[in-house]
Amino acid sequence: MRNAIGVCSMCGTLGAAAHWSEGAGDRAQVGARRLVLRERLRRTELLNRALAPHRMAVDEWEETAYVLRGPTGASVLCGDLAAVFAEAQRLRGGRPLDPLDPAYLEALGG
Amino acid sequence: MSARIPLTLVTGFLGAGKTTLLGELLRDSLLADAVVLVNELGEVPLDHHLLRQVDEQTVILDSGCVCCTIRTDLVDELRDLEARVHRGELPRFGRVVVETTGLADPVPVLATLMSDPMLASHYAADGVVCVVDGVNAPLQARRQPEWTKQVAVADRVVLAKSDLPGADPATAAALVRAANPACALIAADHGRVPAGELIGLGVLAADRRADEVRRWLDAVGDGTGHHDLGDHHLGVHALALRFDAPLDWTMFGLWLAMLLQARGDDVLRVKGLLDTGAAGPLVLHGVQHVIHPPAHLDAWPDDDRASRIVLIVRDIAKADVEASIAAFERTARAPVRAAAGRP
Repeated sequence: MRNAIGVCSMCGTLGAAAHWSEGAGDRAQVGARRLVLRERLRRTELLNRALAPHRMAVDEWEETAYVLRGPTGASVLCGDLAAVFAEAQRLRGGRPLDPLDPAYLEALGG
Repeated sequence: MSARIPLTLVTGFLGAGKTTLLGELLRDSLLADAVVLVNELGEVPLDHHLLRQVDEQTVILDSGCVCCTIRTDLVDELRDLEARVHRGELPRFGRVVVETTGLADPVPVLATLMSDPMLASHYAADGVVCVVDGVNAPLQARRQPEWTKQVAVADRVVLAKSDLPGADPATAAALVRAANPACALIAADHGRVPAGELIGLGVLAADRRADEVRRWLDAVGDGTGHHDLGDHHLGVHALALRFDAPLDWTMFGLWLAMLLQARGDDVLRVKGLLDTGAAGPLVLHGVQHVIHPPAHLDAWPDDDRASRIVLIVRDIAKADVEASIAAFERTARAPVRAAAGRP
């Protein structure tokens, strides 16, 4: 399995702060592990819905990463949300997963 | 943690007058304890005891996105400066000013500050200052995409050379407004601007974030005011989004991360106050791929409790953004299945 725990603010610097999307809760709530985990599981669920039209999926991994599975069975360990989308793009031969693409939105809503 | 060292980024196209401005700023006591990093020692001499020249060295990291271009020169130089202060070879400095080259993309400097663990813990972006050439701005804006990028990411824009023959400050100002409707635009007086207008902005400081975002929201309004000039001359325009019902942050964060991966080069700025169901709003602030950690405010800054977001974009239609967010909202509201990989 490739390891894509990345290296920049979008791609998740190893040892750096959490991805911006994970730090938005109330500070007191962020400290509550159960709420963080619940949020993480919900993000995983929503990620799977967003990736489904591209025949990809993720599993939450040890509360620290996501395992992205591509349409051909390749899997990649991704440090955060941004790394998931960067790797998903790579698995699609460099074609981005454009959330503005009408065909994608139709598949998402179908 | 207290007292990260503020870092001001001075950008602007070739010949705009960055070094002249910097030379004037360095006379001010505000910059007495500043380290100044320049890429090139130009024809305008700079007299400062902590002036350092750095060769612009970038490393494009594996994923190849713009924000993954790390300015290794800055990392090395700032680490070296810290080490020399600790060894007693240099006086302790309280501020850093980085001048980019005229063709540089300023975003990697911001990305570098956030992504290098040492730099992120020691330095905080104070603000981005862009110098615009009042004579050549129309030509540069039309021909050089770097111009638009530099202006769009600025917190303050200095209009220089507007007193020279051939200057067209009105057109230059309109172009600046098209790329960056909310920035403070300051006319230089013979290359001079009061240092306090540009230094010590603290645009990301917790107590100033909401004001910065509100300035944007007020300036952009419903997003229809700047389309003509922006679209025709620069290919950029402002999108103003409004959501009266609370936004699902998990969904929105996912959507935005996906958009930035796919279209990050076309999203120049993101600012917003979001109602995520908490007592106060979430403040969102981003420059291209570089999204600063969102912060919750204790209370709303005004009576309007709707989520309001401004995007400065290139070739992205508001209707497409709204349709996409609506589709993601519908998807997020669908009944929850068992989470993958978990009991």
